[in-house]
Amino acid sequence: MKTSRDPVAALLREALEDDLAPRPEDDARIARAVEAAMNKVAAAPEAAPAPEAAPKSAPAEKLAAVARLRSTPPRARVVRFVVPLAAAFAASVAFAAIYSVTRREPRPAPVEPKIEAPAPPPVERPVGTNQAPAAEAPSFSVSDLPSVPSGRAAHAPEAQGTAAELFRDANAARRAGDVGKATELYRALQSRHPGAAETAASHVSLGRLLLDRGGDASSALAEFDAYLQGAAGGALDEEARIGRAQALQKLGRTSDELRAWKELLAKHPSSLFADRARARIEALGE
Amino acid sequence: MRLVVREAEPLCYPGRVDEDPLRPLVQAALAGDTAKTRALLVAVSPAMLGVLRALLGPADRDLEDVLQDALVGVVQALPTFRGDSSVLTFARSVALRRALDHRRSRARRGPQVSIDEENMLDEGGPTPAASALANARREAFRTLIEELRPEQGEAFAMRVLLGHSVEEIAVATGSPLETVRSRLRLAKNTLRGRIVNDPTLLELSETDDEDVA
Repeated sequence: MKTSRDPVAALLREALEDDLAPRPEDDARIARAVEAAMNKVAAAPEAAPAPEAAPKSAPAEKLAAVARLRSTPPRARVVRFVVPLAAAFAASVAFAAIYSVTRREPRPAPVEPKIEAPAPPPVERPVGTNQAPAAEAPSFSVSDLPSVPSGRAAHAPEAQGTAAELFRDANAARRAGDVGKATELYRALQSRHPGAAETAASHVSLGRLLLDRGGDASSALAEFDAYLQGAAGGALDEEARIGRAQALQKLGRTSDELRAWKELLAKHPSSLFADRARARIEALGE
Repeated sequence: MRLVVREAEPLCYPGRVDEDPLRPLVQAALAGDTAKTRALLVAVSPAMLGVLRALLGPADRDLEDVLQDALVGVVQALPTFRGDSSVLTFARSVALRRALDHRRSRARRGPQVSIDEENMLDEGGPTPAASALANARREAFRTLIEELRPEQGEAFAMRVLLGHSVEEIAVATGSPLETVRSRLRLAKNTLRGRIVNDPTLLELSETDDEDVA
């Protein structure tokens, strides 16, 4: 293979170099995107659920399931080994059938192989409940989600799945530009699953949505405050503080805004918004 | 003004794939190591974000969401990664496809209106004229990608953004060489019809390069 000279492609590539090159603001974007992607991977349905394999964490199980898929023989190997074996097996069956038909001696009737379904393991359930055993609906705890600082108690598996689904649907609505639906879904997530890890992240997502596209700085501020009250120092601490300061700026609450920018600089001195924070602090008279 | 056309960067280095520093992270991710998976995503993200920015534009409000989807796509596609290219090239290809999908789905929904403050920032450039020319070329490229048929857009974007040769595009898309050449020729023909006030690009687009001709 070669990389040939293509003047048009080279010229266009040169024009696009600025876009291709990393930018200072990329770090925060990447951190958020990686976090969300890891959560999505962990929330994806299992390819091959194995509830009996206990020690691995749920995300690790998901990745292991992906790894198991890799061990599936590629097409070439199937053609080389499996097809001849299948042909040999078919031929032996055919010969056996011919032999049994042409042979005149009476033969005892073949005994049908007895296929017994394995007995289900005993499940202890309170009388009167219809809840399925955990193995039927494999899930994982949000406390297993990668790098989601929580410290909260584990929740019921059903609640976790629903929280992940709501978060996913809300993000999809946000991507589609449906501010109303996204807001509604984020709110539903927050009211139904107040302790879920997705809920903490949803405060920042909803805050940004309300601030940037909803024109509602007051509600946005409440969202950023909610995140900082519940998960201060978390992965989205910097974003929440930036959003909070911007919301206060839009609301014209200058003394609170000044304090918010100072807090941002104190907590995240190398923030991408540090220059802007200093500029605002200066503009506000300090 | 003299424009210097540089050789396309050799982004695919099949001879050095074994030395790819990201391969151990891929192996660990496939074995179920969550921390290594995260490290892999962090390592490939800057390059992927660059591809997304080039295709969607730096001010695109969905940039982060598309990056997120593309990262999930990388993890999901790891079992199919055969090591024919570097891990970074593989990740860039995933990002490129996601960005093209996103452009198409957005085109169906209608134009976007962005109100983000950061979008107002001047992109800058060595001189105002050079910046304007670069902007025009970027715009021409993005418009072209949107107008082309999906397979043509994919081939042309791989050529421009990933520096792929015809053979590499053929392998990546599972298409015959002649088909890829034809797609690239058609893409350039369409580009030629869109060029305004850019004699250099027009002249170059009329010259067949060696492995497309």
